[in-house]
Amino acid sequence: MLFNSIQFALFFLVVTIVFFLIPHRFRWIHLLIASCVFYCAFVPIYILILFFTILIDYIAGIYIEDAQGAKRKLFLTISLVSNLGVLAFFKYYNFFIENVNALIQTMGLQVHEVPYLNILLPIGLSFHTFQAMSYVIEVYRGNQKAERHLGLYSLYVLFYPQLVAGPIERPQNVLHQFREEKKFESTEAVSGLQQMVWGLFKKVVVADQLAIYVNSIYNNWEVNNGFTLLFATYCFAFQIYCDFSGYSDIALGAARVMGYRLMTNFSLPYFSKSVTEFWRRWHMSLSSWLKDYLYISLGGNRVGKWKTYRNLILTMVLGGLWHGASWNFVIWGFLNGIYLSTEKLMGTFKVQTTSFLLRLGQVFVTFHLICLTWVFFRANSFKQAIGILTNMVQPIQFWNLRIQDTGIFAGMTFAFAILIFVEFFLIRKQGEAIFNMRSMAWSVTWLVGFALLIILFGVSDGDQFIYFQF
Amino acid sequence: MRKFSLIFLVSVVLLIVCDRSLGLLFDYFYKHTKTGQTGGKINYYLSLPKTPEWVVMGNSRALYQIIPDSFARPTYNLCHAGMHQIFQTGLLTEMEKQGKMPPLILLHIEPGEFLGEQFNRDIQNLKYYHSKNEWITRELNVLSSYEQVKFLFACYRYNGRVISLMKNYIQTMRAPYASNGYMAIEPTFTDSATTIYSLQQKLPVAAENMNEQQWNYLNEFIARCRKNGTQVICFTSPIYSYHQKSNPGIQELESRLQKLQVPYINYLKKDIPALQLKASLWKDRHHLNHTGAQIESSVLAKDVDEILRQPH
Repeated sequence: MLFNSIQFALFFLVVTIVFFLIPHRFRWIHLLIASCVFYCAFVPIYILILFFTILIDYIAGIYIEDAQGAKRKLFLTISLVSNLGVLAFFKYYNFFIENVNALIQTMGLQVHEVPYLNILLPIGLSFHTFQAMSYVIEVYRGNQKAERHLGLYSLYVLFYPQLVAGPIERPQNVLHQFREEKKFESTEAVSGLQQMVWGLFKKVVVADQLAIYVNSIYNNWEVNNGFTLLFATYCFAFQIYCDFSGYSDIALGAARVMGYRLMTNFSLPYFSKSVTEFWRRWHMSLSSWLKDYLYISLGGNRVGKWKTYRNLILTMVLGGLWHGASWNFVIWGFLNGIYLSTEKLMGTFKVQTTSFLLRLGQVFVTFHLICLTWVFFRANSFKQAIGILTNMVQPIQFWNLRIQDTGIFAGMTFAFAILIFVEFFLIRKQGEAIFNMRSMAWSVTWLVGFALLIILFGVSDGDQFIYFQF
Repeated sequence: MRKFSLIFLVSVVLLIVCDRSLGLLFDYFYKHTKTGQTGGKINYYLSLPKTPEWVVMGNSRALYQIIPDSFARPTYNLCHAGMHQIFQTGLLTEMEKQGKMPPLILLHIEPGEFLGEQFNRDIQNLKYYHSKNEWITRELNVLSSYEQVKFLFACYRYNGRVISLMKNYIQTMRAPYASNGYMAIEPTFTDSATTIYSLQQKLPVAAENMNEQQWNYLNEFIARCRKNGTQVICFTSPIYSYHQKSNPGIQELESRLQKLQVPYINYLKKDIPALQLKASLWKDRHHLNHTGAQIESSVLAKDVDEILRQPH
């Protein structure tokens, strides 16, 4: 059940109405059932995997809290191994086998190839695994009390708005909210709807229109070159941003209608003046997870200069692998790690400047550095990524931009203009307060305006959200 | 709760009012548009006082390559870029409904289209005819379980084509449109380089099994033509530096057309020597420029004449 489907609109409507009609004590059951239904709309059998890890983490949490000394570490290890084991099996097994087979072939060994697993990746596996791990680690660190209510803990992992593509929540932020009695608040409900409509606009109008152009160029990269490929990469940068942040906005909005607040996941990342700043604004729930549980666990910046750089690169490489089992994601993470280390080494972008032109230059450079990494993220293979980069710098007919379909090009330009207007003039100045209900006229204009834009310009048979595959 | 209900109600009412009003406005623009690929060209053809004797239908490889003036009879090029068979059949049903069937249709087909994946989403380019044309409505409704719900919005019929519609409307208003439907790609000095460069792209290998649903669209097309006394001749344009190898799928397609007594001229097999290996006549590997189009059109005209001269 995709957020950009009529099926979801009906599901959301029914779940929300029932939520406010039933007494507080039954709401967790209602939300839990709804979340299971939501998950089962993809591959029903995989919910058993979720139940398995939920049970392990629930028990581990209680044991960690009750145990003393080395036993605490043992229960933490059991929980982490179980979570990472499931992730490794479903996500990385075939990648591992592929590399083993390649190695066998390279060495010319006369042995049979190791067979691949023919299974589908459970949807949103990386997201809910990290969220579950976050709970166990926080209990271990003493920052969170173990949840004794299995139903509420299950809801923490399964809560449908953020189940398949985040934000990757922390137990301190969410668990207590499930205990609070939520009353229907008109302002919250309207604000939530406004955020949902904005998220849907970003997905179906901006991201999906850009996707048509990006796919047509990237799928025929052999015959495209120069500015066409560069422009398609710019478009992909905004496609993935609108796709993922659009999903997050719908998730945050859907939760907000019911009175729940989830963490912000994006904060205008392409206005960043350095890659370090970019990672504070892009997929914030993942970058803070990586920082809190990986980078700091590796020693962070307390272990000397060179080890700090190593930690940064290692964290980003593992962050890349979190996205997918492919060398392209490893390179994507590695490049980001190099950027972060270089910035730390040089301290260049720490210079605060009031000059508009200089700041614009910093934004320009950062955007292009990020775009370089997106080539590896979008390409289907390392060979293709290198081919695209090679064709991109070909000087012959460099400025010859291939527009493809003029109607689609005009549509995506129009959608992009609206995105920039709203983000630069409204969200940049007011943040998420933009979704707060100010007046009836404002809310009605926002809801009706974006609904009409979605009907007129939305891609009705667009792709699923990119981050669903992770 | 009261505040929310009020905002919700006002929003819903306003959305309905705006949707209906915009729907009417776009209807007006659409009906008066006589140029472009978002319906204008169809409108122009349907509004012609006298139906041309021959009509060319197909995708961009016929739109940019078949010059109607090359034929002995009054001909109109009703091709639409990027459109597969479902679109052509949908368009034909509307021509049939409006009594605008010509005596002969030259239908450009891509053999690979009938052997590979499904291409039924092109019918969305005929959304305007939803609820107006039974066949198109049925094909649109099967695209997804909720397609009919989307059509509750009057504006949805113009989804994705508002800007093009406005552009084409303004163009129609500024200069009255009179054309034979052909769109020329003017030759440029970079054509050779672009065409040779495009050889880097590998052509997809045609599947060996027929896609029955795709075939059904073509079969329906032929059956409707026959019912209206329209003769169909199928043809396929050449591809630069490519000669099609036969496979069971292609043979099956040819044999089915033969069984239906539909002549098929396949320039992927029957080379046009003047076009092969002359990169300057091409825009890219799949499309000829105007100079190349003149050659293909004259060859096709001769081949069609020859077919028509044969006793039935």
